[in-house]
Amino acid sequence: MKALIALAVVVILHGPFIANAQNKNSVRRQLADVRAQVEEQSTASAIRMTDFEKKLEAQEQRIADLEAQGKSKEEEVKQLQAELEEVKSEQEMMALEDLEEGIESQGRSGKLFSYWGFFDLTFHKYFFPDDSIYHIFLDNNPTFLMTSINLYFMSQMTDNLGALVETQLTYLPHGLETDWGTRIGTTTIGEYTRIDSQVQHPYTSEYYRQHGLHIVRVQLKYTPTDWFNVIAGRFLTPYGIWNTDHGSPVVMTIRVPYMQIRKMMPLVQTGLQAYGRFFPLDNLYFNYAITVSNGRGPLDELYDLDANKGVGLLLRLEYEGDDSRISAGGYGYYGKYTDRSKTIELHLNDLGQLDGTMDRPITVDLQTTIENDEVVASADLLLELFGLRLQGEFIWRRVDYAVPAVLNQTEHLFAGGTPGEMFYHANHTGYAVYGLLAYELPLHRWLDPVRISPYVFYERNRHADVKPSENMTLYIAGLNIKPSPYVTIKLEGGFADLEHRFYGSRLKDLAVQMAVSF
Amino acid sequence: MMAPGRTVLSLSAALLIAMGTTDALAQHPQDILVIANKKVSVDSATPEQIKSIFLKKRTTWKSGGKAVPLNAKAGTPLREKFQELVLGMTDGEERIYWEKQKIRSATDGPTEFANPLKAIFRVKGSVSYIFRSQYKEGVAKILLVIPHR
Repeated sequence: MKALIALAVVVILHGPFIANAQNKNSVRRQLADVRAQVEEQSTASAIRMTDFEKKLEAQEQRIADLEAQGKSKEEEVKQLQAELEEVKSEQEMMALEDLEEGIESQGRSGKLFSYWGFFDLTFHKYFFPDDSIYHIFLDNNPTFLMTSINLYFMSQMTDNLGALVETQLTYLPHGLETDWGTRIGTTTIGEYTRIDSQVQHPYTSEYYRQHGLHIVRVQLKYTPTDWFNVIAGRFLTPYGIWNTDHGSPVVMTIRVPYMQIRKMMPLVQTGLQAYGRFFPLDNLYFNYAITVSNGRGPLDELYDLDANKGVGLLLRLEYEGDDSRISAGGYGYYGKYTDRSKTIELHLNDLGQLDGTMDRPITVDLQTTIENDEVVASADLLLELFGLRLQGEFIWRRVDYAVPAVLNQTEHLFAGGTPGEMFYHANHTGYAVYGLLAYELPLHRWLDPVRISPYVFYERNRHADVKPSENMTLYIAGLNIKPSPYVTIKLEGGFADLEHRFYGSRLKDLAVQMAVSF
Repeated sequence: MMAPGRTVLSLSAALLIAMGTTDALAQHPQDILVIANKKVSVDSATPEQIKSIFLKKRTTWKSGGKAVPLNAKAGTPLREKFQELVLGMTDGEERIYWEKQKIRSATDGPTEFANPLKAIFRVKGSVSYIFRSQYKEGVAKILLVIPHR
């Protein structure tokens, strides 16, 4: 094509010379030259064409090669995708390992130490006349109270081993009344005494009140299986319902049953507890607990003042259905209470020195001041059905004295004694029973997680048959509202019938409580 | 009157259809699969057993070994479905339950994971739950299927 264009150009350029006859020869020569050039150019063009075709072929070959490469690329991509999947799988495995380590570390360090707690604030008012003998123990002014400030510290060292400390911060002993002045005619015996724990910082001169710490539970828990676990330390006696619930955010009412206040069963013990659970059916649990402890004593949390150990046995059956729960149990306890005093006896010679002629010039005389055997049996029942909760506990207690304790002044005056006389506790039997009926209003579909439960409570307490002055019956009605899982508001009113006529009237009260778990 | 052979055939067909229907129901992606680590010594569990494990009333597997319940994150559709169908509780009720357990027996609720399947794969004795659509063959063993409702 290029050759033809060149020829055309030559023709156009040289056209005028062809028409000129005088220059024919030169024209011929020129034409010959042109032909030669054209032929030469054609040859060159042919060569170029060949080159071009070769190049084209090469390019086609390259394209074919590239296409082939493309196919292999696809395979490569597939292979890479497979490798990627493998890598992803490895990454997943690594993530899982991290998670596993995370869980394990929660066992080792993440959950090594956890803490939580609860507290409550109550606004309370007793109603009784100003000259009432209720004033011996109570106050009829409306008041704010803080009774429970419990802190839990827990360490889960391994899957099976955990340690728990539950403490209760208390403002006591500040404000504790330890004595009263007792006036008979014109004679006053004793003096009103109240502990004032106020101290002054020796450097800053700042005044503040020292408060106390009550250790509720301290224990090591070994939990290898469902059917056998061990608690070593100080533990809540596994009896009834109230005692294990024990926290104000858990229990329904503000007022605590008198069977708890009067400690008809030891509420806490120091020693060992073996416990476990069997599953006769998937939703039927059989629980047991065996306790061996210092039992009851003036220092039982520290050490035992006798060789006898308190022993107890719990048996409980629990059924859990879709909308129901039934639990029935019983705990029996036997123990010995012993208190004693010490007198150190010095045997002196005539010079007033320790008598060296004697083997033991110093002796210690241990006097048992109180000793009694105690047998306590309790039974409890819990029925939860479609929002209805029926809860009841019964305690029976027998106390037999080997060395009876001395009654305090109030007790022996109430028992018909005269001031100054020594009256002793007598062997006695007592019992207490309470029933709680509550109904959770079916509002949670609209108000979840808010829970509202009205309740009524009844307790009959015959603490000791030889002390009818302590007989009482308690009636309570209230409303338990949980606006959140962490806050409980209770409104409650009630009265206690204390049967002894000296009290003069029922002990009425109104209370509002906010209990918080955190 | 239908021939006996034909009757058998028809019954078989009906059974197959029924099985197919059941299978179709069982394969709903929103079914809850209760899954366990592959080394867990049991192959199945009842809803009551799973409930008692997740409420920590049962702490070991029937044939031995610690049962480690792992929860899905609170507030997720999976957790809410599990609470409703297995625990029989709302989220609020479960929170109240654990608040009370902490005070009574110092027991806290199961650890929570965004993707329980991953955790189940490696943690010995673990048990959790996922939607069927999240299940991967071979990662965990299925103990119980809670059909979608």
